[in-house]
Amino acid sequence: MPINPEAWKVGLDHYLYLSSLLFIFGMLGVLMRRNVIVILMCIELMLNAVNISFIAFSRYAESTNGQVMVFFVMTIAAAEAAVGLALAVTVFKKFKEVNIRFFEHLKG
Amino acid sequence: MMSNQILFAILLLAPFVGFMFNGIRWKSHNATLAGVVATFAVFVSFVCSLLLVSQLFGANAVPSVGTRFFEWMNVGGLQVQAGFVIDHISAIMVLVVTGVGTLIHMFSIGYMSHDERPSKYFAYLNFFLFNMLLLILGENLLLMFVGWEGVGLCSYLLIGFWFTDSEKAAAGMKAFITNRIGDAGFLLGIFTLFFLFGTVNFSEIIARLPAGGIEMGWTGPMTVACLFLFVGATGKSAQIPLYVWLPDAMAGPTPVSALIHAATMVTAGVYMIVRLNPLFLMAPNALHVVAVVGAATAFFAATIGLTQWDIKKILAYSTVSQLGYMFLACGVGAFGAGLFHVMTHAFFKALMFLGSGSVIHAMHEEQDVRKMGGLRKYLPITHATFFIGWLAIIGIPPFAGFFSKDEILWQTASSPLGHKALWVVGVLTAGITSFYMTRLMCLTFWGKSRVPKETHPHEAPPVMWIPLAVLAVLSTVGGWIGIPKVMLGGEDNWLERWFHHVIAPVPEALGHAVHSHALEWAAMGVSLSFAVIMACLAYTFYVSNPSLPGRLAQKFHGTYRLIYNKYFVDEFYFARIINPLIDASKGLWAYVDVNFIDRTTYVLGDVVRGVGSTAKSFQTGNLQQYAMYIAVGLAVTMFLILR
Amino acid sequence: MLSSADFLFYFLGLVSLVFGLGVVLFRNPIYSALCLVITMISVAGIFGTLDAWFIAGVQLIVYAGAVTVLFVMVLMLFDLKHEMKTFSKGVIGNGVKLAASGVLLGMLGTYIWATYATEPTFKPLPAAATSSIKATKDLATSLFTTYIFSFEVIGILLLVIAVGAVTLSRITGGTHHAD
Repeated sequence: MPINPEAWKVGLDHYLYLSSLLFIFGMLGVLMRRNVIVILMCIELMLNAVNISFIAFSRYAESTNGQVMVFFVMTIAAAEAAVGLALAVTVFKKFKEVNIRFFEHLKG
Repeated sequence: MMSNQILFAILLLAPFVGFMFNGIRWKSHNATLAGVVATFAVFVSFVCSLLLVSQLFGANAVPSVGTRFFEWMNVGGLQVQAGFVIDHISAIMVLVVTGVGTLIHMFSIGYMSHDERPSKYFAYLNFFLFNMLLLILGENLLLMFVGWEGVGLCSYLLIGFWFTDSEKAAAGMKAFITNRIGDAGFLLGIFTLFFLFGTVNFSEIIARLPAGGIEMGWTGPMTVACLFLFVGATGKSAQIPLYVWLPDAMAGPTPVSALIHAATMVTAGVYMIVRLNPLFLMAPNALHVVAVVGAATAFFAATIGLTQWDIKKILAYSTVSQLGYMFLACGVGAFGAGLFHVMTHAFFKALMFLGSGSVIHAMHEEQDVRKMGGLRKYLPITHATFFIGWLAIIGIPPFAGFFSKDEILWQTASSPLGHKALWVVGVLTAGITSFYMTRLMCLTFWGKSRVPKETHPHEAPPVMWIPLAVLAVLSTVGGWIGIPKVMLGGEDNWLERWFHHVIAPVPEALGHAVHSHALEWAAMGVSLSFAVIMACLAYTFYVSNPSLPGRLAQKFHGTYRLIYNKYFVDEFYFARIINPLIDASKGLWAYVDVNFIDRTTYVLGDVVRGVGSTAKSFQTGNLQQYAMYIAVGLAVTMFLILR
Repeated sequence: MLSSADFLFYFLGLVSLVFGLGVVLFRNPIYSALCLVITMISVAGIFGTLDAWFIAGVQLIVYAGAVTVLFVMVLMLFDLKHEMKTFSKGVIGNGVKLAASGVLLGMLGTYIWATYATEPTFKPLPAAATSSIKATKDLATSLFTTYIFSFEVIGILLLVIAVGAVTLSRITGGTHHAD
């Protein structure tokens, strides 16, 4: 099957593929890992993946709105990491472990 | 000058506020506070109704005062306003209900002073009054029905007020269930009317009646509607065949019997028929049924009254009998006379019930007349007022009962819808009434005292005898608004002028009334002299020659037993209707319910439980599992989009 | 022939993907954290290839700097003694998770293959019209005019988060006992 030589030129699509792949990797981590801190890292990974597509669209549409959105996403991500880690610390103090399993106790 | 809307609101809500006040503090033992608040609430209503009714008088009188608060229902063709109206018909009822109601509330303060739950009692009483006002003032059948059910509920609650006595609780249930049968008929009547006229508003129904379209047959829609409504009336107003609850309803406190089961609620059926009088005149066959049932009930209940020993039971059967008179009046087209009798009956029967309450209070809850006698000495005021009530009910002029009863009897004889036979039954009933009422007087107040040694009867406090005195005055003068034409030299009396616009005359097509002054005087004389003779006879029986009744009862043993046991009607109902129903229900329960319905619910329950336990496993608290659901959802969504 | 910009993209993309996979796969969380830093830096570079220089800088400072330091600090604080299983248990659960990810990956692959092998729909990015100074200025303008309300709300949110994190870390007891 002939591969289009144009396909190697980098366009919007390539950024979106990269973004999707990173997102799926992050998702796999969130789904599979047990360590809460690693799960939080994977969430950051997913957020980064989304940010790539935001910036790519922003550039494609020649608008700064996407960059503003990324700015907000970063802020929220930082906040989320702070709270998540604080929770992890609390759980660790209680159970001496950071297995996601112990978060079931938050169910009340 | 307050607007009518505000007056109506106060009129309706005053008893409701009283109900809330006493209902919230229902555990209180303070009878005086509860009673004074309740009485005042009803009195406020009475004043408001006076103010409203006064607008129907004078130079710039209006035909009716009414107000609409809001649109209650608007469903398809059915538009119902929460509207209330006082016209010449409801004016009389509202004054009687609030006026007599005030007096009876006042009486209750004394009567219930030693009760355990006076607040609850007064709350019920006020709630009853609120519902009664809805029933009377509602401008459409649905509002009337709301009140109709509400008074039924209050009646149930008050009959069973001393519910720790299972017999009294059972009496309450009997009243409630019997009324349900009537209410079903009433609802069917409302449906039929809505189907016929597309409205449930009284004035609109009357405006939409076909001109001159009198239905002669039995199966015409208007006849059917009227008969259904009459079934409702027989339930609420204790007519054959649904009268059985009223005598048992005497289990309630005596003022309740006076207010609900004599003066106001039980006359609701009569009031409803009078309200719809042009409709009933379109269906003469329905009116015949009303008249015959009324006359039969009057006679039948009066004969039972002859043999009872319980002072309240005697009055109860007398009430059933008098209600029969009212229906007889309606049935012969004399709606005005019927409503007139409602009014006078409210006065004298409330008086007699309250008098009996005073007697019972004095005798320490003793109701058997065989243990009374000679009470005139101990209870002079009660005796004097009861005496006036007695004169009124047996129809001695110039007391109230004479005029209304005479009007009914004369109309029965003369109206084109009436019949001689009905008149004869009416006169006979009047005689019997006179006999058993005299018997009651003799056994209770006159003759030798049979009071047990340990009982010391005492006269009631003023809070109880003042209402008696007021009602006695009303029983005396209340009938003067309806003095027969012949006595006034051919002039219309006040009552006829009052009802001129709202009570339709009997249509010409049904025949002409008999007009003969000589005949009217004669009829009056016959019934009056018959009543007097019977009264003298009763006096002979029970005072002069007390051994005679016993010997008579021995001689006509079979008849006496039949009447004493109320013609075995209750037994008949039990044997033929209630027990078969219970047996059938038991059969349904043991077979259908257990085998099919229960099993179905078990299966349904198992299915739900299975589904639930499956669904439960999705909700583990495991965060990664939740994330998995999101991921699967994402995958499926993406797949569906990009497919 | 690939231009230098294209080459840069492929290089940075590959690095970020490989180290992203490293975050997921390394057993030791410290290695995961280090992989995360490298991924972040390469993502910042990708932002640079898109001429979003300001965002790229923020990415380096906030993510690669602050957030990662936070993670590493917490990991050091915990000083996990005993080993724990890297991946969660459950054959069915993991199967479903892998299947869902696999479906997404498969669809992505199919899509790439379908669009680029048979019907070329190349969407070139427009040339960067403005200087990077101008672009940053534009970003600041829209952030402080159009999005000023959101910006303030985000500020309040950060304050709340700060207070909340402190409160959480001060909790000593709890409603449940360790099992």
